[in-house]
Amino acid sequence: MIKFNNLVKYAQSVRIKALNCVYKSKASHIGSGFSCVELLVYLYSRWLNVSPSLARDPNRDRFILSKGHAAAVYYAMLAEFSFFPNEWLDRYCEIGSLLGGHVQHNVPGVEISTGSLGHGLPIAVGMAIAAKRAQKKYRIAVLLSDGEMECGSNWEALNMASAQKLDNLTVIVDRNGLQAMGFTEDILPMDNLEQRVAAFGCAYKLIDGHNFQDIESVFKRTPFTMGKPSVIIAKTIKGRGVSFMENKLEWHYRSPDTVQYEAAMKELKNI
Amino acid sequence: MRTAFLKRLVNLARRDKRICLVVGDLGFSVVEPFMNEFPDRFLNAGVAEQSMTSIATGWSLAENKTVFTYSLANFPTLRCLEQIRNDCCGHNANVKIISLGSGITYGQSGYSHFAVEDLAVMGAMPNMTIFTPGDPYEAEKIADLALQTPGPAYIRLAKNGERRLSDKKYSFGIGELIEYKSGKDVCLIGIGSILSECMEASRLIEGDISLAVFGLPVFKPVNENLAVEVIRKFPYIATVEEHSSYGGLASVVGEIMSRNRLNSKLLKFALPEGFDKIGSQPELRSSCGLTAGQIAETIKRAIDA
Repeated sequence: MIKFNNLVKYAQSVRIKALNCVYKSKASHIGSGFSCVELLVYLYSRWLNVSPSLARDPNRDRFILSKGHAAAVYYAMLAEFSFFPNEWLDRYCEIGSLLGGHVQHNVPGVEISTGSLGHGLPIAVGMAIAAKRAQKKYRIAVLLSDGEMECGSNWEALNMASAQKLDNLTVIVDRNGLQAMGFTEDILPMDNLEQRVAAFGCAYKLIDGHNFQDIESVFKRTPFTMGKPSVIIAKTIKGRGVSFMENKLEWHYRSPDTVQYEAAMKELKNI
Repeated sequence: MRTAFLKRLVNLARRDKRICLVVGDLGFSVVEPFMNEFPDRFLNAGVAEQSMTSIATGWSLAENKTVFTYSLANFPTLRCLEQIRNDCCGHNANVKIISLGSGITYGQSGYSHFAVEDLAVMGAMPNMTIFTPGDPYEAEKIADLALQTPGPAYIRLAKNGERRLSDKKYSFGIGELIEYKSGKDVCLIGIGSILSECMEASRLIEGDISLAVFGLPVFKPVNENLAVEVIRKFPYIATVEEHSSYGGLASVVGEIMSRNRLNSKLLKFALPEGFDKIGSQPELRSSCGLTAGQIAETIKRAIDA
């Protein structure tokens, strides 16, 4: 297991790699990726029982990145943890590359292809049911965006998750407050998201999704309640790590130009 | 054919522990034997077809199961089409979608319950095998075949009471045309429960015109070489289906003929686009020229013309 004190360095490295990906490829969604760097780094370094050597192990934990548009950050993290060579990142979104703008399961380390929102959680529920019925001990985690919680399919799935008492399921919501057209609170307010998931029979905790201490203390306590799925609502900042990207809708779409790239890199390396 | 299929599925599930069944709150009085015998391999997903389909995918992938989903008409297909495309097909998962109520089986229930674009839509899904049994015998065989064929499948069932198309026992492979009745003037190809009308049409026209009747119990992928061998022997081909005239059997047969430069004349019997009448299945067939008598009459006129 990776030492707790090294997590910040890993997060920094993942952000730098992901920024290189979107700069070279002119691809989008860097802001959406930066909001979940700490969550992904934590999951893969200290919580999930997965590693390159366990990629096909039937008892491994399963993770699904339901917000598949955070691909650059996810792939940077998988490369950081040696699921595939770092050089693959140089060809992100290029023809012939396995690494595209949304997550695909033919990439080493990826369980499920995503990109259309509202698919990851129902699949995770199916996996959690599979594990329960087979009396297996592995856990299932799924990371969603907050805008994604507008999809009805997620509520169908939560309904089933609590009915089936899936305490082997951990649902993480990247609550950065921004979706594709603006702030979530201006589009379909969900300030009471925790009450909604509680009403659906889930146990929940709120955390600061950029603070490793906070993240670890809460993840260590899963399942929060026996017989209930655990939902972690992680308060995050879209574009976290680069001052001019933080909490800005435009960085859902934009790729940095050379000046912005150099400024961003300087900030990331100075941490 | 629904009962025959589900009985066979229970039998298979006794031997094959991979088989699971997820229903969308439908199947009252037919899925209970499976539910009671294999409670650990059964789930009622509720009226929630999107999550039903994704749950089936997750269950299948995590524990290497063959998961059947079950619902009516368009509910397990069109309602959750992207879940089928991205989740089942995209991961080539062993999820077998059973839809009860092919075509206008539920005629009195109306437009919402007509599965008449399903072949066009499901046919476009990658890795998807499509089963279209014509009678209970074929439905039973298809339970085995679906299990042996890896990847996603769509199984299009009618309800109950279809008569056997042939007295013989026979087996069939993927995409093979099956001959129920020989003939030399016209080759009639049908799919699903409407094959009973085709058989009757052949009988009605006997003496006048020699009508061969073929079925295609595995609709996709079609065995094109075999189809070409059959089609090229006949001056007239007629396709009969309870499906829209777009993207179903007529389209598949027409494309094969065109690609292989077969010059037989093609007559198509299908439902008009946007069909939304109410009535029993026989009444609705009659309103679209799909009864045995109407099929026979139309073919006769086409040949006499």
